[in-house]
Amino acid sequence: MTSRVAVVDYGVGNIRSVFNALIAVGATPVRVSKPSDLDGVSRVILPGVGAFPTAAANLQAAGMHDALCACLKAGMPLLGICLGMQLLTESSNEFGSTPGIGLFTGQTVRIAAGNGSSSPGSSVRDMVPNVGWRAVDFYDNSSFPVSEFNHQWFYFSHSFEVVNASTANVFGDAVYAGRRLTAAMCHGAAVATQFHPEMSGTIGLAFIRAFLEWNGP
Amino acid sequence: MGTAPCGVDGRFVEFMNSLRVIARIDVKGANAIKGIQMDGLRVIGDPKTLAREYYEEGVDEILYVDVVASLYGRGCLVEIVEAVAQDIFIPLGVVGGIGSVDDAYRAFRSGADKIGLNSAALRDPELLTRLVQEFGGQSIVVSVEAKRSSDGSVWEALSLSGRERTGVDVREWVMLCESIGIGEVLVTSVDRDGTLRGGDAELAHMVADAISVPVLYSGGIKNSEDAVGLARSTGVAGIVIGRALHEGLVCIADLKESLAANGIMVRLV
Repeated sequence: MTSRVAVVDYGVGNIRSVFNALIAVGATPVRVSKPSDLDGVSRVILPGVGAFPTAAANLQAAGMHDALCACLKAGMPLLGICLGMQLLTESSNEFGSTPGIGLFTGQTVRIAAGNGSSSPGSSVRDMVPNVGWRAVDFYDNSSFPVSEFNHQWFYFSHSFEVVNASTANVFGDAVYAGRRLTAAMCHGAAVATQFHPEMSGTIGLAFIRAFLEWNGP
Repeated sequence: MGTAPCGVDGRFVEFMNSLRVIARIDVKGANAIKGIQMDGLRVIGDPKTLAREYYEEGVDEILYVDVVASLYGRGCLVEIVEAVAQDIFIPLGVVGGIGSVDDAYRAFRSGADKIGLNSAALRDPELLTRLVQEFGGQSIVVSVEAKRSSDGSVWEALSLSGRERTGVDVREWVMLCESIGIGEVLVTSVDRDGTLRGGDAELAHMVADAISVPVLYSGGIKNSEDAVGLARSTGVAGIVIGRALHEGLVCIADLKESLAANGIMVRLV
């Protein structure tokens, strides 16, 4: 597996963890901050760090918004992680309303803790932000292979979540505050996760490896 | 106790967060060290080797605490973090020596997944606001070094690795930090740190009760029983273990089995 994988750098925070995970599974990560950097890459990772409006503005300013849309249209496999998944939705209400790439039906909104602040007989509560490991239930409703990952634990770290997602797009969710939290989405050759596979230990690396071996529907 | 099975769409769901077991590695220069009550520092090994060992053993997160960075105004643990981040694929937190947005960029760029601030945040809480806006709250941790008052009723936040008094009340401080939008609070009992006398459940409970962001408790954990008791009684999201791990008094796999057996959801590896 020597595929050159674009890791989109939109200027904020840690893309090193994604780089390191790609190297660990035998891929060659390429830092991409402008469209011409995409030459020769076979797939794209849109990692998740920072605030939605800044990220969306930086992608626009660098011409990366259009470049990513072109990749999606061409059917190039793309993995969005955390904010990278949220950027693929229609919009976010973080610091006012900002449009997203709109590949997935659904909006990105601040997490509501719901009724889970404290449950009878438990000493551990559901908190905002959602930081920690959760078991993810995967559904076999996309072309992405999920059997290896069903009920496995992945690491989440987010203050915003995707709501009103189309069930056709959601192929993984997790229990949060007594309800279902959108954990994995898929459309065409784009797959996206709310959790961080690059921080989810051995099973996370396996997820990244599965993405590298997947060519879409 | 613990998981409350309830059929939703024909599937079982659980109404609670999982608990994280976090390895704390205090660092001075190139060495992993451990003090007692944040004093009398002793070299215990190589910080990179320890992190890799705990990762292999199934810990949920690694926390590096640079115990002298604030004091000397040096940069954080860039080189150690760069090297370790290549080998461990769980969250890596870095506390110590981050005093500006630029320092934070350096820490994240080197491979830190979250950063923790104590002294700089106490000096200038506005810095937390700027970090939250820049990076999002979920990756910003406030580290609180809590010292019990002589009458035992309240805790004071200390700065500079427990060396300096601030007069700031811990409960008020963590509530202010929560209102700024930070992602997690790491609270260390200065009185128990490195003593193996057991965690300060009253402190852990007081902080976890005051705020709804995840609280990670550190200080004095001596064995699995102690960790389980603290997890059951306080509402913390993470148990941070240092000396008891370094000295082999806690085995991560056994601790997680005990937690699970006591109805606390943990990631079993």
